[in-house]
Amino acid sequence: MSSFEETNFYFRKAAQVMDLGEHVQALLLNPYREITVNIPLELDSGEVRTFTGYRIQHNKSRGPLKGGLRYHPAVDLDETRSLASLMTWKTAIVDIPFGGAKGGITVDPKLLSEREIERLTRKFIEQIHESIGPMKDIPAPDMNTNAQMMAYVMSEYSKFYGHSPAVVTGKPLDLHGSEGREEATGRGVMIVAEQALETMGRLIAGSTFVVQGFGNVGSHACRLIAEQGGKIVATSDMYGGITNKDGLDIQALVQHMAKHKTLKGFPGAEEISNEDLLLLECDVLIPAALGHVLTADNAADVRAKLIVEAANAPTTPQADEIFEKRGIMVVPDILANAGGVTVSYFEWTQNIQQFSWELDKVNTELRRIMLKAFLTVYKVATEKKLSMRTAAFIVGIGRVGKATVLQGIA
Amino acid sequence: MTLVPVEFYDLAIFKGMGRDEVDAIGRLANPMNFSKGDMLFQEKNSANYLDIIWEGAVEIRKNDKDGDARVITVINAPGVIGEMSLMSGQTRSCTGIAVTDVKLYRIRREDFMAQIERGSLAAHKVVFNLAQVMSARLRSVDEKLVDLLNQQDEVTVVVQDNEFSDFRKKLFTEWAF
Repeated sequence: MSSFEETNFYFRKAAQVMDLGEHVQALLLNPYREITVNIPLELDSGEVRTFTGYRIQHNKSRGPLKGGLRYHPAVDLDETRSLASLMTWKTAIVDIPFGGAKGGITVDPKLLSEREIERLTRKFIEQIHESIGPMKDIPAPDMNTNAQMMAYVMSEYSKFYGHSPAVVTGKPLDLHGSEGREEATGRGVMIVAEQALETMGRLIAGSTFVVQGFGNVGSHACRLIAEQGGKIVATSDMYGGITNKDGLDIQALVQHMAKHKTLKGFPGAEEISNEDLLLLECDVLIPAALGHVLTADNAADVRAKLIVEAANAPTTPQADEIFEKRGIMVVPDILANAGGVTVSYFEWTQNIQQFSWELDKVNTELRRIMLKAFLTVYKVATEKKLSMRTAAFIVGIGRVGKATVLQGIA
Repeated sequence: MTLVPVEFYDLAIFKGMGRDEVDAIGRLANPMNFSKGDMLFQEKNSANYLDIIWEGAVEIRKNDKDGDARVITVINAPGVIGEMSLMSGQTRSCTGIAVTDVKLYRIRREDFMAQIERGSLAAHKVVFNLAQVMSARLRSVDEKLVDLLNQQDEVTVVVQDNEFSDFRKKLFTEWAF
């Protein structure tokens, strides 16, 4: 199943429940605009290479398009299209006034120098600047892109249109970025995990967690959960995992990671593989690293009572059905990791207002939005007896559909 | 003596005419017999006459754009065919086939027009009646056309509108969040 087909699989599942006709589905599924550019780049060595860049603008009925830019050798039209459509539903589920988009360049940035990355980013923006803008399409960091690259995006775009910080989010704090942006996705994950536990009569305090991935999202989620009294019994990085059934000291783990660039060798913890880690006994499993880690092969052996998808698409459609049959609640990625785009929205808002919010205000607003989104999806799921994923898609489709028909289709 | 069968006096083309006037027109008519399956006249052929069907039935056919013959109507006795040919002198718009043995009276346009030229009141009355018959027929065709157009609109609108209007309705009821 291709990436776009997989997204469409969940969409169609929701569309079936909503009894949407073929024409309405086509209207909501097909991207508004697909941009492909070929970017010639002179390398530091003097050689010239051409890279392919994409920007897929999926649906703009709810507001300016919003979505990340990723630099990765696997970036292609199909995957970008899929991620763009996910952004449409995600922004609608958390009810922020954006449409969905995604973009990227097929490149391995590890093979480029910092100066080459800057030139590549600037040339990409030079080629798509007419299609993006604070009220058109607002990129953000994604896989292998960071705040520095977003600063290049702002700078290049501003050459054409004058000072325009609101054209991109995820910028450095010193260059019109927002407080709380870095930890936003992890904080959002913690908030929805807390809410999902509450529906089971549980609290974060006293519950056990396994978090696969200790990157930007996983590490912040672990820290915030631990601050609430949750017990992180295992976590991992790309080299493998560590576990301690009495709970890991996250503060010490963050310091260990900063010093050794790996979790390995953390005192007082046993090593465990990334595969076995997913099958550990725990209350909450948070896949926060790669996609497609929960599959038909391991879904029956997962022992968690709740799964919160911090990563994009960690569960395959087959595994999703197994969890549904087993009665394991899965808080889907389009809801669970929407904290990042929500604080991106705050950054855009602050840039437009030319005003900065304190961290407390960012966190308070993020909690309000994530809470409301979770409760809306949970209500649909319980009332209609659906999985949280189908319910989330229904909420997204309903909101995008309403914005579409209110503006008229003709 | 009466030249034409008495039922003819009730035909729409003789409406409001005295017997002597109907007889005056009847004198132009030649009685003819056709067997079942005979072609009385053919579409696009010159056939400038009016037929008053006295016995039997005639099927009126018209070729569609693919050249396939489609039955438009069946004219039963007593009835009239060829009003348009009599008035306009143009070629036949349809084909007439006897579906039973048919007896009819045929009036050639040439003879009828000669009566008009001479200022025959009876012939003028027939023209007036033919105008009324044809305007009634035109009105009925107009109504059929409107019905057809409405049906076509409904077909397209139903397919699209049902889907979108159902969607719209649900968005503001069942799927409103």
